[in-house]
Formats: sequence, structure tokens, C-alpha cells
Amino acid sequence: MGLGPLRQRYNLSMNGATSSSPALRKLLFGLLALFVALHNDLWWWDDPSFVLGFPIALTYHLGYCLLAACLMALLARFAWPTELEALAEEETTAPLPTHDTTGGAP
Amino acid sequence: MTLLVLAIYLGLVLTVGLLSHRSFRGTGEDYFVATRSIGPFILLMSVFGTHMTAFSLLGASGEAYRSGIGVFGLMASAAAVVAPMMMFFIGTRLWVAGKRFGYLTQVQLFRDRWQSDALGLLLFVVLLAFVVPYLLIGVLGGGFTLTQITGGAVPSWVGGLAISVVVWTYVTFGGLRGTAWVNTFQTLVFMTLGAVTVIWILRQLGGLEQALAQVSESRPDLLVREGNISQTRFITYLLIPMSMGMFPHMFMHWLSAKKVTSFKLPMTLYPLCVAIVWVPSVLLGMAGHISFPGLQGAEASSVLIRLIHLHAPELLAGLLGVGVFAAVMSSLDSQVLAISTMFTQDIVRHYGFGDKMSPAKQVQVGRRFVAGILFITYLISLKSTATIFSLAVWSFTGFSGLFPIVAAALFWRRSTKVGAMASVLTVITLWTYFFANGFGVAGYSAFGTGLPPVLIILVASSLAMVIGSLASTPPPQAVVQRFFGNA
Repeated sequence: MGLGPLRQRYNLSMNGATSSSPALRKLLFGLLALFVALHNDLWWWDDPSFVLGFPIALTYHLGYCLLAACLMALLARFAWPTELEALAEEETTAPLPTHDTTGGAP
Repeated sequence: MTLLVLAIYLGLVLTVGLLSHRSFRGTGEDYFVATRSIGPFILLMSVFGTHMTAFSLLGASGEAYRSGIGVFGLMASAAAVVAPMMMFFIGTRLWVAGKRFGYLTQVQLFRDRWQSDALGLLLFVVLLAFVVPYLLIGVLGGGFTLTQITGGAVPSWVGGLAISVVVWTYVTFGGLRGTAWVNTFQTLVFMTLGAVTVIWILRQLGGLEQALAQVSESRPDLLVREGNISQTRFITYLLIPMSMGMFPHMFMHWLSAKKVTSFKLPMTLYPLCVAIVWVPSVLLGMAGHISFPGLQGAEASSVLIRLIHLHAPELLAGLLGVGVFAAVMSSLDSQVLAISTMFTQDIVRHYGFGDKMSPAKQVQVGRRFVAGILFITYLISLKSTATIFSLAVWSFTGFSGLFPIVAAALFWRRSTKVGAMASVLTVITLWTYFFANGFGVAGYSAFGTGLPPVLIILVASSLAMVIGSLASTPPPQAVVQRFFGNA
């Protein structure tokens, strides 16, 4: 199976931009929730063995950091809240009621 | 030689901070949030440098000395996943609100969001109270570092004083741009020198394998979590990095981003940066038992510096000490600027004291206020025997407890000022109670339940927010629409 149907399903474009399809967002948010739960590696709580030169729990959490970076890259690319970019450009409808930002500098 | 290296470094930091003054555009927005012009890399470095304080070098190595490898999962990998989530879900939305409505401080946002002056004032006091222990970490860290690295030749009060004065000076002149530039410089310094430190010291101890073998022989308990950290504590400490969502200094850095997409790089690389800084700290903390067995209490916080002093030649010791100074100052500066911004904007200008003063005079008052806060913190540091780790955890606990406030402000239309006020008051009450009973008590749990205070405070403040909001009149439609639009 080619990537076409997958792209169509998750609304991915070829140039790396994405319109963040709700299905893909949900999938990634679900993955994020699972990933957060996997932080709690209670299964080798008292295991003193070494893996890759470090105590096993340290190796696990080091790998966890690397995977966290990968997951964040996926979120940034495929689940980015693009609506915020539009909102940021929107004119506000009411003036600030309590303060201004023009002064107070040295 | 060590002192000379440190003095040169402090001079360099001052120069970078003062040079940034040349780019100053003469407006409050430029001074306080660098006219929202900071790109992704500087944002990453300044946010990371601000988040990683003496806590992540001295505190982490000290706690690893006491509790072993579990500290990495407890604080570092927890922050590696939760902190980027804070940037993604909270930071981006705060940035948009800040850009649309021109906020410079959290208090402005919450005051405006719930149309309550009293809530704003209460939050100002609470945020300030929670920042002080965080400031204390930096001042204590500076003192420890200078004393230990000079073999006790320089008393700790000199280090704390030197760091306070240098930071106050460059923040005063450079504003947020200066702070961001200096933070970037200092973050690169402490990340690089952290790596050099671990490589050098482990080589002196016969290499990583040999060092861990020695630890395994003398303190095998440090290589597992059993007996050092309870599973409940481990699981619930995932809540601690949520404090990032309410740090005033983090809010300020987030607002300085050029675009909302500037958050993409920081959130992606943040977990890697955490690993780069924390793995050496934890390894060296445990290796400290080889050269310095039997350190007790706050003494353990200085194990990293003791190792540097013992194993590194004088010039290198100076450079490695610089790395610790860099980590300390890169947080202290942002906290100082955040306090200055809050006082100038939320008190002086908001309550009209500024009407009688020129803008320059207002900032002068803000600087004096910060100098006063720093001075009080410094005085506390002279008497403090608390560990850096425990101070940080109490501070983070307070900020995490306030997390429902920012979450409700950004995501819950029905939330009201009554709910927000109930939530803040709940945090104040519970935090004060737990702090009074548990500060300095090892393994303290809330009401003897085995649960850490952060969980109880967070659940209670969330409930207070929900119950208080639902029991009060819904917020005016105009205010809700202004923030969330019509959808």
C-alpha cells in the first residue's frame, strides 16, 4: 500500500505543512497520554542490572528523553494548533481595560 | 587562578548584558518582552537556561548522592515530557493572548480574563511568595560554589553577594533582550562545561564503568530506586513540572517569542537538553560517594563542586565553576526581571502611582523593589540550612498548585473569578499548612497518607476552581467572546 491513502486520511501534504487533521491530532494526543503513562516504569523498580553501561532504570529514562524529543517533533509537525496563528493576527475587538504597554521603560 | 577565571567570567556576562542595551528601542514593551522578537534558538536557550537552575546541577547531584539514579526519572525525564507539553498547550496560547491584548505579566492576563482587580493583587503576592524560594536556590548555589571551589578560602556570603549584584546590574540595563542574550550564552556555557566536567572527573575516577562499579560495591542501593524513592512519589512527581505553566519568568520568556511557531524548536529539543544536563549531574552525584562518603543534609548539595575542587586542576576548576555560576545566573536573571516587570506593571502603573512619575522613574522604583527582594533573599540565604533540592520542590509545588488557574483561563469559558479566587486561596491555605509541617522533614507526606503535598494541592485547587465557577454567575458574554471568539 502506498502512502497516498494515509496522507489523504490524515490530511498530510508533501511539503511538510499540515492542516492538522482532527483524526491525526487525536491519534497523537492519545500517543502522548500513553507516553506520559510509560514514564512510570515500576516494573524494574529494584532491578540492579546494567544495560548499555548504565543501571537499567537510568538507561530507560535516557531513552525516554530521546523518544520524548521524537514525539514532540511529531506533535509540532502534525498536530500544531494552526488556528492560533490566525488568531494571533486577528485584531482585538476591545481596548485593554487596565494597562498599556508603551511606557515603563528606562 | 580559580578566582580570576570566575571574575573574568562575571565581567564577560556583564559585558554581554550591557551590550544588549545598544539594541534597546526605548519602549516598555521592548524592555520587558524584547518587542516579541526572539527567534526559536534563543527562545530554546533562554527558556531552558531559565528552567535549569542550581537545582539541576547542584540540587540534582546532591539528591543523586542521597537517593541514587531514581532522581533522573523523578525530575529530569518527567520535565523532559511535561515541560514541552507546557510549551505546546500553554505557552503558545499565552503568547497569542499576550500579542492580541498586549500583556506583559500574568497578573494582567488573569485580571483581564476574569475582570477582577482583587484577584490580580492576590496573585501578585502569591507569585512573588513562591518565587522567593526559587531565588534563594540561586543565591545559595552561588555561595556554595565559590566556597567549595576555593577550598573554603572565600566565605559563601561572597559568592551569593557577587551573583546577586552582577545579575541585578545586567538585568537592570539589558531588560529581557539582555537577559535572553546572556541566558543563551550561559546555557551554552553550562551545557558544554557540564559535559567537560563529567568526562574529566570520571576519567580521574578510572572511567564510567570503574566509577559505577565502585558505587555498586560501596552503595549498591543507589543503583535502584527501591528504598530511596517511593513509587507514589515517583508517579506523582510528574505533576511538579506543571509548575512551568505558572512561573512568572517563563511567562515572560514565552511572550518574547517572535511568532507562535517559534515554540516548535524549543519543545522538540527540550527533552534532549534535559538529558544532556541531568545525566552528568546524576552520575557525578553518585560518584561523589567514592571521594566524599558520608556527606549529610545540605552538605550533599555541594558534592559536585567538591569533586571539581578535588579532581580538576586550578584553571579547569575555575572553568567548571563558571559552568555552575552560568546555570545559577541564567535562572536568577529571569526571575529578577519578572519580579521587576510585575511590580512596575501590576502595582506602580496599575494603581496609578505611575501617573505621578515619569516612565524612567517607574522603572527606577521597580529596580529598587527588586534590589530589596534580592537583599531579603540574600539575608535568608545567610541563615538557610535547607537543601537546594527541597527548596526547589516546595517552590515548584506552589506553582504546580496554581496550574488550574492558567488552564481554566485558557481553556474553560465558564470559569469565573470566584472559581479562580477559590482556587488561589486553596493553594495558599494548603501550601502554608504543608510547608509549616513538612519543610525539612524527610519523606514528608500530606496528612500521613503517603501522598506528596503537590497532588493534594493540585486536586483541591482544581476542585475549588470547578465548584467556585459553577456556583457563581457565568462570566459576561462579551468577555468570553473577546478571549475565545464566537465559536
